[in-house]
Amino acid sequence: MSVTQAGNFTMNLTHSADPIRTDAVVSESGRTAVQYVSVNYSVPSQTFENTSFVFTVDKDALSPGTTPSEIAFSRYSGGAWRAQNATLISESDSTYRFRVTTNGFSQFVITGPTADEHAGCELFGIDYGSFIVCWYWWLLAAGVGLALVGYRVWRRGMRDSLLDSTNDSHQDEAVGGDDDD
Amino acid sequence: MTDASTRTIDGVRWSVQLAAIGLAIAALTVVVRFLGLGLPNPLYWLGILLSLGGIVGAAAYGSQYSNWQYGVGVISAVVGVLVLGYGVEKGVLLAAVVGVLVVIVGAAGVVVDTGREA
Repeated sequence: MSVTQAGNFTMNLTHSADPIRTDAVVSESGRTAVQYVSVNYSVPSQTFENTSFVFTVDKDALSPGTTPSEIAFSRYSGGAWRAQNATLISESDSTYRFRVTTNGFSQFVITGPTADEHAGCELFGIDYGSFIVCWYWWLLAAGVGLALVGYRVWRRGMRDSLLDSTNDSHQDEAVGGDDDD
Repeated sequence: MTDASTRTIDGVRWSVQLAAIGLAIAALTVVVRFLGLGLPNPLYWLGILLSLGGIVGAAAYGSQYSNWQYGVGVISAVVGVLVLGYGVEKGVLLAAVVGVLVVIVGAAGVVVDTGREA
């Protein structure tokens, strides 16, 4: 930011997860506000040139699976949120760092996809996608099915073993009876 | 033992083995992915497909030396799990409850039928 006016001025930057102004609220379907930012200053807006922000977003604040390209920085202007061109400049294990050039300071919001948009089928960090239902339900269904048919085979195996042993004992008795005679 | 019953028992045995191998493949891909190694998604779904195919085969062959209750019970239990999953994912309580009931009734049918046969 460059300032074209000499002298002192004040600038307050406020940010909150909740809307700062009641008329500037994100209502776009499928997107949720990560952080609202409000910039108030004591000099005319024409005083500022080359206005830009560098902002950091905690990954924990985003719905799981959100990619940097899905994070938007918007400026409230003319009664609507207008997306600004934010550029990813660095990434750490826990944060994304962006730079965005804006047309002056005002009300801003950082948004990401809602959790539902990324509900996905992730379980323990694994996601094999879905076919009608998520992948792990298919695994569970196959497990239940195998348990039932396996139970049947196991019980039949036990029964067959019992029958075999019973037949063997009958045969032994029969052989023993011959000896007695 | 007749040839027909031998074929049926062999069919059940092979089907169960196929189901077990399929499930093992699917489970293995999950474990390997959990350990941080990548395996292609189609391998998981191939395992599931093999497993379900084996289960359907075992249910069909098994019904030949038993009655319809066994085969319907197995298939119902499998479908019930999927209905339960649908209900949970979509937040449809009725579907979830129906899924649980179908699983219980299907499994009970298999257990009762197996016990009666034994």
